Amino acid sequence: MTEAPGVLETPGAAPVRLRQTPLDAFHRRHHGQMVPFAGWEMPLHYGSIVDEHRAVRTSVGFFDVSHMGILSVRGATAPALLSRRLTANASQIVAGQCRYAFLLDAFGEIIDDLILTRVDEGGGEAPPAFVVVPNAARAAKVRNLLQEHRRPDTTVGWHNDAVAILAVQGPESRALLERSFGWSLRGLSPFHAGYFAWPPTAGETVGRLLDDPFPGPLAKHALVSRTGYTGELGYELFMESATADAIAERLVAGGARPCGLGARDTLRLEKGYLLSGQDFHEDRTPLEAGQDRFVEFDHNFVGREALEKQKAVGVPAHLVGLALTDPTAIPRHGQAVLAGDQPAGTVTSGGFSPTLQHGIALAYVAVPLSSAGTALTVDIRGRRAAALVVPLPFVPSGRPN
Amino acid sequence: MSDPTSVPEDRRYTAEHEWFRADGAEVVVGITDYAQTQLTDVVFVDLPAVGKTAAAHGTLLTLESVKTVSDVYAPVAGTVAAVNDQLKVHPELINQDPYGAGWLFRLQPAAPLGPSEGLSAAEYRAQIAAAP
Repeated sequence: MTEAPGVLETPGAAPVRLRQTPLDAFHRRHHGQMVPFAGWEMPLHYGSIVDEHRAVRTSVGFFDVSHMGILSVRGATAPALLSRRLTANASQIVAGQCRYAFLLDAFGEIIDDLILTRVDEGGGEAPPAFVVVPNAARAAKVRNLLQEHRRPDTTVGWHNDAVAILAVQGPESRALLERSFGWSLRGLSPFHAGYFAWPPTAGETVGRLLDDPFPGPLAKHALVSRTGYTGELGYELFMESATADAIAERLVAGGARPCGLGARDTLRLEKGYLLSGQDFHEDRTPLEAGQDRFVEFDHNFVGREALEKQKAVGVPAHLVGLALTDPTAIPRHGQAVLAGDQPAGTVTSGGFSPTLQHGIALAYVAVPLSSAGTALTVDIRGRRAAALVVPLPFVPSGRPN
Repeated sequence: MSDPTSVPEDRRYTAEHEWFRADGAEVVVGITDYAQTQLTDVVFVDLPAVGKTAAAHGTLLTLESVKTVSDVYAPVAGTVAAVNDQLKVHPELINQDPYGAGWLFRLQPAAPLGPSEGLSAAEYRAQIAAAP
């Protein structure tokens, strides 16, 4: 048995020494199948990707995402710095709000996607403070670019040694967190965040904002944001690395299933979410990737001119969803897409959908072939498999499982 | 989840993570517990036709898992005598019971199986212990 290149493999050479997250002992205690990923040793699964996938779609599961870059940007000109580098206008982000954004090069090509959250109280004496979470493989590059462009009044911090992140995801995630930690999460809207008391404190059940620079408040709080990568109700918990193991064990005791990178990949693919380094790698713009809604043209950012030019002349290719209804045909990253006998594009993410029980893929195809209902084929190791262009997400919200 | 280092003594192994054991004149073949853990949930098995012949290390079938795709080889030269039809509807048997109900195919070997064909359980265990 030999393994073909897996969809989870990191581009580029493997580093000599892998880093471990603060949850490393937890993963081994729960029989995580550990694999190298973006320079970190991470669990691929704890027994079954499909079971973990179902737990998140039907009840609740959680992921160690402490390998993601954990950056802070703080100072009077922090909003200007972030606005200059990101497709989101950071000066419009109010305290407690999160935003998904792209960091582009001068050609408008995506270097990374990330979530930024304004964590200071706002309006007071303290300067604006943001937590910025890029992908693991891009964290150093994002940090360096922000560092290069900053004014002396603003600092860029990197907190992966001191902070861990757990993504608690699934329809029962809120009930589980409220039950386990005594928090009241009903008031926390999608893409909002607050500091919640940790350890749980009677009388302090709602989230608030603090003017201490991140990660200071984590000594007595967890930063909880209503964000995720699964398309389900879910929360991401930032905590001191020393307490991460105990919090993870509490989640298990409360009925949440530990989930690995494998389920993280199948869950995000069903929702049509992009994977950095795979669906873009400094070669595609947000317009080609169909992410126009995350580009705010109300401010001046690196790459804006190139995007405006592309808007005017049109994109060369568009990211589409492909459904392969033959259950024996599973598309994989890098496979060719054809229209008749003509090359039409390339699969960037592909795999088996546990919810739909057939193969699905994201692929860049020529614009005339990108409308829903177009019949294409994917070359799966020499075999032509029928593929239909379908609207994204593959699995809409509220679909019965 | 079973212990992925489980390597029963009653059969032989290949460096490519297959197990095989003589059963009468035929040889039963499957993949190891370690292999199924690495592969993740198997979702489709492209079983070979009965009567198909293969040289030693010739590709006989493809396993599609949630994570990846991999080929399975003939551990010795021979002809496919039977396949595990159960896997057409229950490919997960490979994950659940790789040494039992998750067997893949039976080979009629081209030459009688010698006692030291392939790797012993101890040799295979040493190989997976050394894996990165």
